[in-house]
Amino acid sequence: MESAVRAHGADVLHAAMALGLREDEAEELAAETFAAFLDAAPRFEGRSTVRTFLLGILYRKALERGRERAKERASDPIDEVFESRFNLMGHWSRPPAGPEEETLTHEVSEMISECLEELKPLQKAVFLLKEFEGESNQAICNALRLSDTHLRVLLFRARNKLRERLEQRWWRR
Amino acid sequence: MRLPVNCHGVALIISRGEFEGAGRIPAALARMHLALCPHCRRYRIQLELLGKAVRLRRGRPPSPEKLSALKKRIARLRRGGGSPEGQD
Repeated sequence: MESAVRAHGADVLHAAMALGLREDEAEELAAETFAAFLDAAPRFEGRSTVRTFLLGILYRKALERGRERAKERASDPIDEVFESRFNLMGHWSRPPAGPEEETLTHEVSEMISECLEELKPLQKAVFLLKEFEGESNQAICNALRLSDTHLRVLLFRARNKLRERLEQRWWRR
Repeated sequence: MRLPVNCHGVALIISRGEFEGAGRIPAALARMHLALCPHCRRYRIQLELLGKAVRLRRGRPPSPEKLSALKKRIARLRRGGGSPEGQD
């Protein structure tokens, strides 16, 4: 246990905090993750790195905890919002507005962090594993037991929801 | 994957994260489109900003005390003691 916590404790705690949990909740979730990892360790086949395996447990536990691992619906309101942005020729009918600079200002960062809380739990988990943890699609699919197609749909929805929110807030500032 | 021949197709492959895995022809078409279309460029920049923003949330690593507290909590869980609040 010592070596696992020493090697990955910080990453797991960071990931738990990134889910938006309070410090004590994040520590509790991280502890549950390591306890589950130690129980499952004999069955660990090494198909992913220990870090990814731990993050998979963490995110699955977070989803179970909220009892919110509802199946991703076949359609989501954001699908329609996305389609409505284009005309029949496939060109933007309402081009994206909002920040156009590649530099990230504190204001934009704050806006995006707040919007993150509005994502569905599985969308948020996938988005964080991809963007915050830098995991590959394959690793995310293994960790959360998703198909590649499902993962792409979740990423599409998470990114477009966040972008739409960012645009709305940009106009209101 | 449909060929990204217009804004809709390009926005789809960017948001679904298919840009890198796209074949040579779809990737070349998408790159060409991006070079010509300011709206799609802005869209791509905004999606990249989303990723940058969450990576900024990664603060300093937890202190040794935090890791020590985590180890104690794990040991308690392993003993089947649960983690009721206020027992630390």
